[in-house]
Amino acid sequence: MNNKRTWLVLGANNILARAFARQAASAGNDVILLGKAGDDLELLVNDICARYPDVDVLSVELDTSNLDSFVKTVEECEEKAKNIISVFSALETAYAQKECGKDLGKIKNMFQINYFSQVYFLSAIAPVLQKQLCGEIIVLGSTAGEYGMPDNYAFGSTKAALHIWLQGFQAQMAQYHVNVTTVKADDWDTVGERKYSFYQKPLDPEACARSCLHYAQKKVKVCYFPWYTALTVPLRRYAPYLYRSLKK
Amino acid sequence: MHWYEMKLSGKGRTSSSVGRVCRPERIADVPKYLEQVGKNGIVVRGSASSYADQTLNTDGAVMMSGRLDCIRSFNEETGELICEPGVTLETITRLYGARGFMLATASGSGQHTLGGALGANIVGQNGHKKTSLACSVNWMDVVLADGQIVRASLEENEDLFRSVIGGQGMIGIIVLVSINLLKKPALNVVVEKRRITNLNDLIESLRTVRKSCDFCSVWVDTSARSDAIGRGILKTASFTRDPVDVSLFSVPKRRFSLPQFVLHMASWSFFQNLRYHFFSDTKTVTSYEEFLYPSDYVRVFSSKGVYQLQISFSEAEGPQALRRILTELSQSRITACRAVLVLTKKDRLSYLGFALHGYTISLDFIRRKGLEDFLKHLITIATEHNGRVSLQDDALLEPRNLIMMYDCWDKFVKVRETLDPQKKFDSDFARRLFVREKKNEQ
Repeated sequence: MNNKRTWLVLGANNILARAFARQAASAGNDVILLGKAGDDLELLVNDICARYPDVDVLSVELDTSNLDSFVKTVEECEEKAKNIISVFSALETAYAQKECGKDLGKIKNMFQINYFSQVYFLSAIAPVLQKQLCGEIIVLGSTAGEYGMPDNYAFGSTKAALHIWLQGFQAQMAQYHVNVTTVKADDWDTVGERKYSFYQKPLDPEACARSCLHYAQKKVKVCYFPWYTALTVPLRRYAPYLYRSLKK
Repeated sequence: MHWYEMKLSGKGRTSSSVGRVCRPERIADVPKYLEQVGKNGIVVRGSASSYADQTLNTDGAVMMSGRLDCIRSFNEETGELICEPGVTLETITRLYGARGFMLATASGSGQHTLGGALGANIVGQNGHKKTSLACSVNWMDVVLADGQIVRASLEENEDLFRSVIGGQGMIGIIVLVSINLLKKPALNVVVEKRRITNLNDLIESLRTVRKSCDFCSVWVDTSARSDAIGRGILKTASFTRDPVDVSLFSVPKRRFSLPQFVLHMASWSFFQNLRYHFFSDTKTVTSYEEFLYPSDYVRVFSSKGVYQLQISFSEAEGPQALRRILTELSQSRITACRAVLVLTKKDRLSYLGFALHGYTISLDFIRRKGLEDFLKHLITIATEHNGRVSLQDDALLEPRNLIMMYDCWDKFVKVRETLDPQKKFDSDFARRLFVREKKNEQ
């Protein structure tokens, strides 16, 4: 076995997962794309093959509505992987808070995909990575999980739950030299209406994917993207309390 | 389906607008977004490389095509690449350059998306050999105003093909392109740079190099006065099998933006003088990829805004027209912060193709009081010499100029009226230049 990785990219229809798969392939790693059947997985497989012909790219169906099927999916991936397995998870769905207020089923759906699917899959793949005694897991978190905002607190709560679970999971996997990185991305344009100021633009998926790979190689546990949100998030979180206490 | 409200500007930052923005990630989403477009229509925006209002749509919708960037297939034998429009030229060069392929056009910037490059019909440093990028397109799929996806090529839907190329997104949205990449004759290029003393020397040199070299561009010093008008540095390049020159003291290429104080008129003139006088003739061998995209490395962004004026002149009118323009610049003491001259071949492919068989000069100016009037004066000079102002970066052209400059303008308008009578594909640029057309309708 060499240092080459086979990256399992979860939620491959997500734009960030797509960017990450390309980034991983450009570094010479093999890629297995996991996503819903009918999503444009084959399109992405062709895309990566056309870009990097020396890289092995495969797609595997991932049914997030049937969490028990994940064990079989992991077995299938383990069988197909030729190198050290690493995982990038961008399984994510998002609804605007207004929609969640009207239909509570949407919150359930968000928890199913953003939390339970990732927890089930990572739990299923954990023994494989523990056996390897190396590998990386990168999970897409969000700054929305750091503090509640009126326009996306339902989505934020799914990410907050995931962040807490990952903290414990990190400690568990560290014993087996497997690094777990949580990438807390800022204002990803996945949900709701937004107003962007002149200089604030939606995040660049390619830059984020590059950072994810870089932080995983550096074995960083938690990172923010863009980096400066590590500073602005506490400010945004505590500014209202500070303002209120100063007003008193 | 997500829409955002966003303030957008052109690359030159001379105009900005607030519009509703969407970012489709799949081709199938494009017609769905089109259904949700309001009364001011929609315009497609790739990498936002146009300087002015070409990709702005005040109170309308803007579709960012950057995420439609999947490559469908690449045929190693024929060089045929089928991809979505959001793939940038730099990406294509990076991926396939090492495999011995190159794009037909060596444009100044690699940041353009393929869709944007075709929509603007860009020309490059090899404009005298290959007209534009569009000459290597086999076919393209275009989403029309009614949401239908139609294939266009020179054999199939020819009018549509000729209108979409260079049509600034006013006809439809390109969603899939089949383009032929060319086999590189050699991996490296020999780049020669030499000083040009005045306009006569410049024209004479360009006549000589038109046949002999593969790539050619001239940096023109617009701060020059009297007899020195037209002086500059001529850069020519040709493919070679010689190995790349290795230098121990080479500085790695980094992208940087010039600081604001450099962009002051007096300091700009001073720097141009320095560049010219301290330049010594060079000849180096470099890899083709290193040689490409020179304008990506130095960015000229002023908070005041930058205007770009790109004018093409025929070989007969060129010398006289260039002399007039450079003399006007000299007399008015207005220094262009970037002036580049390239050789071009007549664009017969596109209805709104601007390149003529002759010379194309590209001038960048930092915005200041009275500059607009001066640029309009330059446009008048261009009209008098049967020149054409490029639509891709224009900010000041008027409808009457357009009609006088572009012979096939009426054909373009006819196609637009047939395919998009409701003007679903609209922009600030389209409303500025096609105002008569709208008035007639009313």
